[in-house]
Amino acid sequence: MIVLEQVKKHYQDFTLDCSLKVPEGCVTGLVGRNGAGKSTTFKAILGLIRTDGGRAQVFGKPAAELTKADREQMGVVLSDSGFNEYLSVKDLAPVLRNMYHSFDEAEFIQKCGKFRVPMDKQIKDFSTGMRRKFQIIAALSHKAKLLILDEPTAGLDVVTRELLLDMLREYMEKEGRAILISSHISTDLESFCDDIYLIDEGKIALHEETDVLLSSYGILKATQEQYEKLDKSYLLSEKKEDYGYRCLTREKRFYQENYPEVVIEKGGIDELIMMREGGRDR
Amino acid sequence: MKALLIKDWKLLKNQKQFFLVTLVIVGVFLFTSKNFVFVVSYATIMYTIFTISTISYDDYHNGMSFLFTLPVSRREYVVEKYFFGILTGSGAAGAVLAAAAAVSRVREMDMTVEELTVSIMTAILVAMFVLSFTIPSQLKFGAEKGRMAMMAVSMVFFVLIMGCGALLKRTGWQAGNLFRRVEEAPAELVVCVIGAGCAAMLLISALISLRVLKQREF
Repeated sequence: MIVLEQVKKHYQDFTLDCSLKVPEGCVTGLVGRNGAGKSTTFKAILGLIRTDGGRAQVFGKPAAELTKADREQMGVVLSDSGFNEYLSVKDLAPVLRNMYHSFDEAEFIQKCGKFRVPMDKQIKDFSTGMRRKFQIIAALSHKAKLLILDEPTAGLDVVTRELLLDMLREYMEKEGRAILISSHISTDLESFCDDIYLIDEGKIALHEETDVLLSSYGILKATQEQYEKLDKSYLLSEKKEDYGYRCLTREKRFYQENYPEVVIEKGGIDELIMMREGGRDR
Repeated sequence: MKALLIKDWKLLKNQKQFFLVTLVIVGVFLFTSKNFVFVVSYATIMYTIFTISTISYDDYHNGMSFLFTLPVSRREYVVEKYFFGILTGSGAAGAVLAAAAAVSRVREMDMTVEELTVSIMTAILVAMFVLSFTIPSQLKFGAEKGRMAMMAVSMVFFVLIMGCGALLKRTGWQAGNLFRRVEEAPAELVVCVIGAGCAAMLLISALISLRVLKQREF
């Protein structure tokens, strides 16, 4: 559904050089620190910026050439932008009805009620959580094939987050759909995504299936002495700490079996991001 | 485009204070003034300017970047803004003109066809000028910088007109002659020439706006 091949975008103090794929039937996560390039990647996919090189395709077409019909097949949530804030949900319902052929107004209103999204209040007076809930409901309201969600769960409490993730899981039950999602809340992505891309300083630093990430990746906490004895063939990166070294591996079991004295913790998204901060790739 | 028109109509409907203030001013002028040209022009321009406000509302909190992820092309957005401006401007002109005709009967004033024509033509001409200059500058520079750009353009325009006037005066040409000629010309011809001029101005402005918006990154 989405193919980025060495998509480049140069800014004064930042360069994006990104390749990723979101296949049909998959939920793909994009993680990284603030300023790593997540939003720029989303903008390149959505044709909101002109890229300086590479290939950005959505539904097999260049992102810059997406038609209205293509965009009807997309549901989007952006982290720093949304619907006109001087309108209410009640005002926007007829707008969406005339924008999308497949807009399900009854379901839209029912979901707004379920998530306590006010119908008559202007969006500028919504809380962050309310805005997010409304944006997700709107993105799901027109039977899109592809959801592009930049930080959709930011600002939501744990109960609402779980309810919305359930809605997204339900959305994925139908065939021929896909989601690209970014989030700062790693547990959301670990429980929801099929594969995850880690972006750092504009480049994809790692791509892995979530199951593999959770089962095979690990963080070794080794003293200086333990570190020197370690077989370093399976270490991906390492970072100097007060106690010795913190190392990231894709072969957790190998080290568990051969170095039982070394403390080995579960590898997860947060650990991956932490290892990028001051860590050294091997 | 229907969805965008509905959106802007809803924005307009939500501006109750704007409606009320304009209505009061129009009412006061209708019942106190002897010439309705100003009041018709005022209402037309105010409602046309509202189109510019809708661009600011769309842009508020990066709203435009989200707007262009929806099934809305940049061309459609530009066309809708001009269409909405013409629609609201001419709607306001028509409504106030009708009100002016009614009030002139109540006040037992004679409102001639010429007066009506002059009123509506002046209003539409000024409104088209406003639309043609403000939409591209608003799209290019945004609300704050757009206002400054408009002031700069107005000043340049003013200086140009004054300069041309001074130059023509030196050559012995008198502006009064032109106005006399316009007055003597058949009304249909004047209307056609002004209409064609407005259409050309709007078309050029729309093409500039489209170019500006296509080049813009969000």
